Amino acid sequence: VDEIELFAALRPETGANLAGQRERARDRLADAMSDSTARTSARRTTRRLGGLNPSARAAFAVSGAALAVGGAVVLPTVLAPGRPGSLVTSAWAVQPRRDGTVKVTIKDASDPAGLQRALRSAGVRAIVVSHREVPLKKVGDIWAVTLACGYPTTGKLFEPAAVQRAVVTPGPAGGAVRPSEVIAFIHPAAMPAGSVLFIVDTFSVLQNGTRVLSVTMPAVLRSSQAPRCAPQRGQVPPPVGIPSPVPSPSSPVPAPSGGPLPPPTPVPTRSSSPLPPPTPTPVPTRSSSPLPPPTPTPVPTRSSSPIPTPTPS
Amino acid sequence: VIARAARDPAGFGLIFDRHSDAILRYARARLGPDLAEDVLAETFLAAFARRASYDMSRPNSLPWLYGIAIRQIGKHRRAEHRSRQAMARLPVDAAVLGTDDRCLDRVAAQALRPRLMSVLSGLTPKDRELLLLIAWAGLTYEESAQALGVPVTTVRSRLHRIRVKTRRALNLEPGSGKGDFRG
Repeated sequence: VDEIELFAALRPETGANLAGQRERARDRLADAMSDSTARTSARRTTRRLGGLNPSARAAFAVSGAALAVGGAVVLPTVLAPGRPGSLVTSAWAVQPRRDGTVKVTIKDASDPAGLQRALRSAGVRAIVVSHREVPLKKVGDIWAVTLACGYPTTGKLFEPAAVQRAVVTPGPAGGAVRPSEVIAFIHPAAMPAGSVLFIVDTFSVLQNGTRVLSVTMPAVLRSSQAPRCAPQRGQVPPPVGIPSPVPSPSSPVPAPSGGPLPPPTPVPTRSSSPLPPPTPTPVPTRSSSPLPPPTPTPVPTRSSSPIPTPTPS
Repeated sequence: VIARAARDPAGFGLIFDRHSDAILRYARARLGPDLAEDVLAETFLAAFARRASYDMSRPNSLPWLYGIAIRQIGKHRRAEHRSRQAMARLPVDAAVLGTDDRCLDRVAAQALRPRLMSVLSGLTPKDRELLLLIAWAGLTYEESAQALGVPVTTVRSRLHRIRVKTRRALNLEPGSGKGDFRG
């Protein structure tokens, strides 16, 4: 008896259903390769531009929150190679796939209107709410932007769990995925008539002033009526290090309940940053709810100012 | 093929087609089916990122891919440990054993499974990687050396050490590589 052969005989059987796993892995690889190609081209362009100064880089890395008030709203957009309709920005990406699903990657939902538009042109009706548009709430010792509406799937506004599972497939957990990043595969064909995808990103402000951004997994609303987010009373913590993106509690932000979302506010360019001036974001005229059906309108390409992907915070 | 893949991302698909099943089977054997898909995708993604550093004098990229896969599998150490513990507890299935070509080894291995798994767990991570590359992935000494980035002489000396440990644990006669059961 050979010792090595003894161990060889212990190898578990591994033959069944290889093809399915292989094809899924191939799709993930193709997606990641197109992402990495896009990021590489963005990095190259940045080098040509002389690169960002460290403070601008850090501000961008902290979260979209930092950009919302003090920084320029620059949404670098690079068209990913591959499927038509793919749109990759440094904050999020929408990538239609061969099998009819749409891969959505969100680091933060700054420019909610742009993300909403990209999803719609990929055939997914969606409402995107950015942390800038939801009120602040104190939870214990930390300040947090929360939705007081039973998010994600317990409220009456949401489709039942079976529909959620059919429409939203969470992306790979762990491995190459960063903790602050959400990846989901959306199946537009499985969305019931009238239903709308709901995406919200939130952030928490810890006692030391650190802001922790988190994006929730997309969920399916029964209609375009989004959860009501009641403004919270309380004192807004002083900004530490970065400008506060938090709206003052004395002027509560209108909740995105059933009505059109407020357009993102235009923001002045930060003078210390060598970033190019912000491209005026074309905000589509939004009629009152319900949302119009998705139209295959081409998404405008803003190729003027690619900057590198923010590092995970 | 690698040379083409280094220039052209589409050419990388050929490498995937050629070797993905081998890597997937190996990852499944190590971690079970759930994590194997992640390992497969991450292995090829890492390989794609590192394709420029591939040694073009080596015609077969499979050992190189195994080397990358090992690092990805290493990220799931706890899952692998659980998988080994579960294997050690499996009952011996005589019906399955009887149909296997390598019946003798297999019967012996199944009977000794708890002790073999304990030997496997007791090896150093480097020795364990080598043993599994040869026993489960079917690599040659040279290919294993390439995958692990060590000289072939190191592979031989590590294997000798593994054989000695195994024989000792199983109460086999000491010998040059093969032994008979004593009890």
